[in-house]
Amino acid sequence: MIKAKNVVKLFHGYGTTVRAVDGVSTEVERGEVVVVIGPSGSGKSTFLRCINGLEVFSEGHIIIDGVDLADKKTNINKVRMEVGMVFQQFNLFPHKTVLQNLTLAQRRVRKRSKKVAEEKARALLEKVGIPEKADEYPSRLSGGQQQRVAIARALAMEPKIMLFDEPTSALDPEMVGEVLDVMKQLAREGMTMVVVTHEMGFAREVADRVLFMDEGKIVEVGTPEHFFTEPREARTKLFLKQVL
Amino acid sequence: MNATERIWPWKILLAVILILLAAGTWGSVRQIDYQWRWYRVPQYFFYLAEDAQKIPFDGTVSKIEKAGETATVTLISESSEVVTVEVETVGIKVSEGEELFEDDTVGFISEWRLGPLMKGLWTTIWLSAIASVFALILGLIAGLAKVSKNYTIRGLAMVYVECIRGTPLLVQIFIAYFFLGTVFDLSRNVCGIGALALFAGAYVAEIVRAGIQAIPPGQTEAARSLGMTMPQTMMDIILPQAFKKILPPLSGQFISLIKDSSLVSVIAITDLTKSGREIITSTFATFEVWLVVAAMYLLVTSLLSQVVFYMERRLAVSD
Ligand SMILES: Nc1ncnc2c1ncn2[C@@H]1O[C@H](COP(=O)(O)OP(=O)(O)OP(=O)(O)O)[C@@H](O)[C@H]1O
Ligand SMILES: [Mg+2]
Repeated sequence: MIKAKNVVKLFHGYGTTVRAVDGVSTEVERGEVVVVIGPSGSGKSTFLRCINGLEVFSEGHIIIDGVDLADKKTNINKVRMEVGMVFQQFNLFPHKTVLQNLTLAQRRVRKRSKKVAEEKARALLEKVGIPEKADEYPSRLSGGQQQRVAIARALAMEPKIMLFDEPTSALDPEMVGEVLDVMKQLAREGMTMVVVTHEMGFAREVADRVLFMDEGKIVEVGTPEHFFTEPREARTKLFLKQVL
Repeated sequence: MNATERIWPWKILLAVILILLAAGTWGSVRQIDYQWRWYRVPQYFFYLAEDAQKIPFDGTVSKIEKAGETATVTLISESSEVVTVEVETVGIKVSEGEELFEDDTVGFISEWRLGPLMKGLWTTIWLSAIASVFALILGLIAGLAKVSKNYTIRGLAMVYVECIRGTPLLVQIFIAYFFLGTVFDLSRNVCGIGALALFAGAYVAEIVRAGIQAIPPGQTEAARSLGMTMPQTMMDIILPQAFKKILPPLSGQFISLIKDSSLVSVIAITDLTKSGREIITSTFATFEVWLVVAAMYLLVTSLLSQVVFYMERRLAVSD
């Protein structure tokens, strides 16, 4: 489903060059849930953002469903229709109601009629557990509710892949559970997911595979059990000791 | 403790200061022995125009029919041509059977007309309105160009904004009229409106740029990650939010534009300011006229502020 080959992302600034992603190669199968962990600044977000073209990577290939993002002829908007993303800061559209947040891209990109888009939106709000907030503005919602709307918004496009960049890091602790529950349900339904998170409980429960990144590289790959019982690398051990 | 209890002393202080300022001004004016002639001002808002009704040929008055306020005068020429003229009963100059020569006055019709102050105000308003529309369009384009990824487009916008902001509007108006106006054969109104629009557009561009950049990048990322194109993202996500943010500075810019429009009087466009100057040459009521002109500008600008205030409240629903 996702095939990353030797992906490098450089950031240039003020005479220095940061290798934010430094030769990452991995594959994600259809229906697989991959959790990416690693210390701050290790390039997790940058790698994730390369997958849906929010960052243009400097070298290598990312092939999504057979389409190579490095190919100049690839229409990135077509790819993005199939790759939903959920952000740490929710990034809901504050000037639109919850319902409009969910219908806008369906109508503009998928060219659905208002009626069809709203039916889809309401069904998804039902699914994430806040059907009654359809006509509210995002600012009136709690953080957990906002993030669930953001997930519903991405799902409204019926993507084949969902990317999550620390979806619970900006939430008050009591709201983390409700968002993770939605994500777990999604995983059970067979969605292909790449999740950057510090929620080790989530990783243990739903991840098929865990990637540990440091300094732009994938340092260790394994099942959650592997990581929690017998991590191999010293850096992994150090990191896990800090977060667990 | 009640908030109103604490604010009234300050209200009184404010009133006292304003009264003292007014009294001080009044006292100073007294000393220079200025003859106030306020009674001369109203006629420049509205005046009663008396149009003399004249006989178009040599002839005689055959009949005068008075019907209340107006009267119908029937005139017959030497070659038996018949003409009727409507005049006001009060000012009739002729009597039945009287012989008249061509262009003699039969009577008057009077009518309320807009005086130069009102005409000037109207000119100022439509001039500013048209210039504002073009300034908004121009500013939007230049503002978007300033945040463009393309170096050339960005550069063009930058040159435009810097040239306009670095030179005085008065000079720009002169250039527009005497140089561009001559070369491209443009009317003074086109030059005036064009100069104002170009000038305000440069400032609007900066406001638009700042407004766009004030929207968190996460908004663009969210929209793009849903597959929306950059133009769609601009139209549906960025500009509506930016517009709400820039409404206050934008309205300030348009208020400035109304005031700056007074400069077009230098290329002989009879706006409010030019009307004021013309009235002064015939009345010498310098103080009164300038005070009235200022008050009229103030009226227009504060009306605009009110409209914007209302719009801001309407847009605040999603906060
Ligand atoms: N737009 C950018 N310009 C320059 N450098 C950047 C940019 N974005 C990220 N970087 C750098 O790239 C490196 C990787 O950043 P990234 O955000 O991917 O880390 P992360 O693993 O997501 O960290 P965190 O856990 O804090 O979110 C960091 O050193 C960061 O400073
Ligand atoms: Mg990150």
